[in-house]
Amino acid sequence: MEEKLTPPSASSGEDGIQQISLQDVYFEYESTDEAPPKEVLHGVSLSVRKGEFVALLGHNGSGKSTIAKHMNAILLPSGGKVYVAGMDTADENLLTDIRRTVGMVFQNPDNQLVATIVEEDVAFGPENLGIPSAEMRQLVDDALKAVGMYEYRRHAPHKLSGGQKQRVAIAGIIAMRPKCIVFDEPTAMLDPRGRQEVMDAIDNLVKKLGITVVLITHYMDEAAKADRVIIINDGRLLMEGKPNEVFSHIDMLREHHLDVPQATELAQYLRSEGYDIPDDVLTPEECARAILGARAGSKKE
Amino acid sequence: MISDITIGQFMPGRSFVHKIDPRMKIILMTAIIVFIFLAKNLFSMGAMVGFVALAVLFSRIPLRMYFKGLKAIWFLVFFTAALNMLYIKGEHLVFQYKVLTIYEEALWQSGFIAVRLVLIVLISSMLTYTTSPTDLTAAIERLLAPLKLFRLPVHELAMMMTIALRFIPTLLEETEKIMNAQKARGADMESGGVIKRAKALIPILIPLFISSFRRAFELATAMDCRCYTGGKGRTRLNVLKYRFRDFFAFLLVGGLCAGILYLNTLAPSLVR
Repeated sequence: MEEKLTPPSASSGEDGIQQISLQDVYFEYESTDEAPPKEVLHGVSLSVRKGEFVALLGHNGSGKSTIAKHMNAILLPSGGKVYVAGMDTADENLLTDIRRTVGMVFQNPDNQLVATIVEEDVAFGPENLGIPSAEMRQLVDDALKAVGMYEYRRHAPHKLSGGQKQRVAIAGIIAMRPKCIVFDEPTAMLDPRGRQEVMDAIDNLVKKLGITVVLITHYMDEAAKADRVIIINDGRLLMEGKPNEVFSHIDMLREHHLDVPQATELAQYLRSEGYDIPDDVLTPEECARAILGARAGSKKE
Repeated sequence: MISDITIGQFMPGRSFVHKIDPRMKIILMTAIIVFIFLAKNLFSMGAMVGFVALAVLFSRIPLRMYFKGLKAIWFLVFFTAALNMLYIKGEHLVFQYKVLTIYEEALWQSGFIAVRLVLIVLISSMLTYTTSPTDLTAAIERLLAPLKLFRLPVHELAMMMTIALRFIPTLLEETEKIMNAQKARGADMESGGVIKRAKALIPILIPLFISSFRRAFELATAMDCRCYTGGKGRTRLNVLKYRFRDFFAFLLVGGLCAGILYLNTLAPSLVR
């Protein structure tokens, strides 16, 4: 198994290639009256390169959200270092710059929207940054167009569907022109249609705007679209690699209570039944093609 | 259902009154309300009534909306007028029955009070009918800005108002969901006395409170992520700008106020 990655380079991304780098990060929640301090990250090292689409996978309580919250200084490591574009997240003077560089979208769209009108909500970030109103209009319009919500700019957020609200939340981050956006389970509360809308919007960010994306999810199908998948288990990195490499280790994933994409599972099952199907199938389309290919040939043995 | 309740009863439109800058509107409405109290004879009160009537027509809000606003205070108008009629003493007795006495001065006084109340309700409902809550909040923030000198957290208050407006529909929706969930488990909210019904509210309020706190916490994190650090150094997407029509409105109301002061000198005051 490809246990972990290359050690993080010492120079944490001043070369502009590495946007986010976690170096041997430990984190524990402070002790309360009832509970002793609880360590949830046990030495995590990972890095995200510029323009990359990385998916972070793990079951509930694996620490994946905690890792995400380290990426724009909502949480600070109790041991180790986190660098965002070369800035140490522990340096309070850099806080605004760090959050300008790495934006974050959360699970519940309702709890991220601040204003009573869509365009005013999208403007909230730029307003905080003190951008002059003439430039702001352009930023807001561009951000809304990027997620396909421009026609709704004068609407009230509470009248929109879940997927639309989440797209507005994404636009609110895009309007701040970040280099990277971290998505913390952005589709967990949405219906299938909303999920599709949000995933399309994320795809668009990566491909058209060149924004680096870190997607935290427990939907394997979403992770399959990433350039790289990182699997977190129990506060440690378990596996890392291209989606088809990672998902081909079905048994190991199962052992850690993780699913694989349905298409991969089906392909694996057919293989074990003796059909000639590759083991790195990810999407339903790929699977269909592989099955057609297998039918064209005949059954083995 | 309950989420249909509109806040502030804003009715979008394109009338002259709608288009006046919200700050100017608040200032002018305040001036008008002050001068409603300064109009002391039939000439000046007549001018005021005429002006408000014209403003109501020009706002192009259906008249029944104004009547709805008036219905709520009908009793108050009647009650204050009646009390004034009975309690004010004057020189010209109009009517006497045992201890019940009514003077001419009291009649004028109560009439004026009734008209003043009606005018105030009309003019203030016009403000909320023709101005969106967002504009109102922005205008209040700008108008109160000088109070920052006295360390009044003006921006924070406006932010709280905005967030409250944003979350009222969300929380109403949630209340409805919780009520349905409790009903599905056999909660009875419609029968019984006041105490029993108040007790039935507890299983609705507790989950609502818990989720509101969670929302508040998440919202605070999200606002942090969007670089919110308070009002300092913030800019705005929609900057309020005074235009020609705002000065025109200002002149109109200014003229009205001057006119009322002049008309007051033409005849003796009928009220104190």
